[in-house]
Amino acid sequence: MIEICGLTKRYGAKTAVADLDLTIARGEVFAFLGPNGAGKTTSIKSMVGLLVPAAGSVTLDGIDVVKQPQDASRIVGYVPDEPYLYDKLTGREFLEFTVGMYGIEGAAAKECIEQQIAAFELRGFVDQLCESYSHGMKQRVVFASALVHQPRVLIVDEPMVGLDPKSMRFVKDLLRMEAAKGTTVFMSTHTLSVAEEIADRIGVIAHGRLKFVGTISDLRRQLERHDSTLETLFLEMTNEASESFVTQG
Amino acid sequence: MLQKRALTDRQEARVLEQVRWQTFRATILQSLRTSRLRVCVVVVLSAVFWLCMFGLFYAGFDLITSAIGHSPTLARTVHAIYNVFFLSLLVMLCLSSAVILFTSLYQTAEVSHLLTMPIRPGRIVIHKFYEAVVLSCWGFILLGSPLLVAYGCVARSPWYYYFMLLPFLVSFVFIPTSIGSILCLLVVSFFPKYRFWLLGFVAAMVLAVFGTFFFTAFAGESKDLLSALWFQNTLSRMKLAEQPYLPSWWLSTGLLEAAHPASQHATRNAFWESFSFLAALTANALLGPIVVYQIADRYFRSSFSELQGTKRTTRWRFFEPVDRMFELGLTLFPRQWRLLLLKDFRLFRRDPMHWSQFLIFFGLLAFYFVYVRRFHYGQELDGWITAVGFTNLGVVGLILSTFTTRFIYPMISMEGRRFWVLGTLPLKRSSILWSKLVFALAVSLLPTCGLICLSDVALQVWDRAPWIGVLHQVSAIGTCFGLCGMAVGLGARFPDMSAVSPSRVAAGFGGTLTLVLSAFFVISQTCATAFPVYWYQVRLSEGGADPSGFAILVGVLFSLLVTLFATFLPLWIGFRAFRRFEAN
Repeated sequence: MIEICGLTKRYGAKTAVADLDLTIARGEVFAFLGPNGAGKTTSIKSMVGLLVPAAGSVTLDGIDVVKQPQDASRIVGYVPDEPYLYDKLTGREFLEFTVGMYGIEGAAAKECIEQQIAAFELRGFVDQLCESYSHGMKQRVVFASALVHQPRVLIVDEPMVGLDPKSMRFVKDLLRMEAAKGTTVFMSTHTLSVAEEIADRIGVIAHGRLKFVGTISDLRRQLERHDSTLETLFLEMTNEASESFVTQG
Repeated sequence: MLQKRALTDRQEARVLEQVRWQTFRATILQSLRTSRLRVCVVVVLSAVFWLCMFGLFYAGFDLITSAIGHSPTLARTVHAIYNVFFLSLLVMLCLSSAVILFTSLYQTAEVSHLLTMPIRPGRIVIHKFYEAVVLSCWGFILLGSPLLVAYGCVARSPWYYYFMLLPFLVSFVFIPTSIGSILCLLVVSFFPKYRFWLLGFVAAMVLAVFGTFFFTAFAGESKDLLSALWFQNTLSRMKLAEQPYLPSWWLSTGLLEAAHPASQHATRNAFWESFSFLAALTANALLGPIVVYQIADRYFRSSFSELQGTKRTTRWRFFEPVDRMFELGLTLFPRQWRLLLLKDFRLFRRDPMHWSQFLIFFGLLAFYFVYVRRFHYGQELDGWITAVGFTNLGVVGLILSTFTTRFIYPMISMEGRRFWVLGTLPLKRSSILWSKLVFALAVSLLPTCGLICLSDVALQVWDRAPWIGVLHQVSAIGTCFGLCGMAVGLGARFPDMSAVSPSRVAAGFGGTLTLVLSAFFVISQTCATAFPVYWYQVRLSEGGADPSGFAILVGVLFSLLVTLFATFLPLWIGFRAFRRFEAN
């Protein structure tokens, strides 16, 4: 479903992502791990067409993101690390705008929106202006808008930041549920326990290079440390516990 | 499976139109619900501004009409004025649209969000292009309409002249906005790393060309100024703006055709002549967005991506000696105050939004004051010089009041998100406010007093009546104290500690109140001394017995009282509120 071949992105002299190769299957939850400044968000922005890679390609369900960005975005739901909502629109108007952009009209559009309102429990505030929402409320509306057009690929950048335990549980269940329906979920996260709990496979990136791809068990086998926590393995893999505080994301 | 289909270009436009409309409606309704005072102040001040401009232009055109008399010369003169006015606006709108488009396309989260949706890049750019057109139209119509309506009234133009004004102005605005947008897209696409240098270079070139044009257009010996020969020469030089391929020429010619029907028969011809110019403007106005769309569709996505990697992080070490000099100037203050002041100065210096507007407004005033020197004053003009001198003082005060409201007033609110630092330091709360006041005075006293001094030199006030020069300086210092005291005091009384943007804080209730009170203060403080001094000088120039200076003494005392009141009352209120303030 997601095929990344030799993806390279440079910012001037600095190489943010170097020669990234990844294949992720339909219905899989893939967690992308790495310290700050490792290249996670750059990779994600290249996958959704916000950045044009210097080399390599990203293909989503057979559609090349660079050559056909609009066709690709039609099958993708994207939740960025800093989501954008129109302050002066209500949550419902924002969802109407999103379905309109995806060419869903009439009764189908109404039904999709009502489904999301019910699924994300937005009823209590969906008709208020977005500027009055708390962080958790905003995140729920953003997830609803990413899923309202039933995407085949869901790309989520740091979904747990600032959420309370209940909302985190909700997001974890949601991602697993979407995968069960056949949606491919690509998620970047700092929360290692989340990756451990819900991801089918993980990828570890550091300094723009992919260090590891596989399951948690594969990672343990590779490092021959069966008794270790994911955190210890992650720090050993990236080998930059101290550096992670000085580089910028 | 959900049925999704690719939207046509028209459908994309409709969805975005709906978002713009919903946003506009929500903003208006919210403003009417929560900020009625602000809405009223904006409406009233806009109306007052429009009426003042109308009155000024009406008087000007009336003067020109009665002074010239000869109809062909009058028509030529007005045409020349229109050409220069609209050419200046054409150039300014090109540059401002390029800057507005750059900010709204490459630095907003909305565009980043829209680029992840199945929408054509050209449509996203056109969406922001229309916003730029609305922004440009608002200022352009507010400035252009009083001029055009005033001329229509003086020239007794037919009804259709007034009806054609709006379509003429709106279609004209599309052209510079399109040029600015194309400039922005091409510069960012082909020279992303040098965009600031290129824009700066273009702006400098434009300023140089315009500066040269204005200086040569109004050149001449000081003693010949406003003479018939000077007038003829000036008109000939202004022909530079009279180029038939310029949209500003189409606009001015089209409007004047509509404004000047010679007879009943000529009315029909004049209407169609004018209409043909409107058609030319509209055709070009419609072509502009099509070209912008095509360029954007091709280059916008790649230029957006390119720009993400060229963020400026360079520190300008060039300014470090300026910091040290500022710190040296503060040696008399306690160390904690010095550190607070230096922090505020660095924030001020590193945010071009702060000082560039200040520089532009005060730079334009300085340009005007220097130009005032060119007029040759006779001894009999003492009353006139006094009036101009005090008007300059009032104008500088009013401009300073917009600066203190926009930048000084929000300073306390902007500390809100950093209050965990300031609030937990071993520092008296009052020290924070005192440091803000000192900072405000430090950045406003020098340019204000300098400008007033320049104005007095240009008007030869120091040679003729030095005591008026001293009075101007005392008034300027009083203006600075009053405005800074109000901005700091009321800023502490009405803080918005969750604010992210200073412009939002300034646009709130407290900011609006500060602006209105500041304007009242400047007007009352200036008038209190201006009128007694003016009448004193007029009586003196009439050559009678020496008039009494008692009225001046009363005026100065009243002005001093107003200044003390405006400085210390808001500060007292602000200090009291800030001591009790609890940060969330």
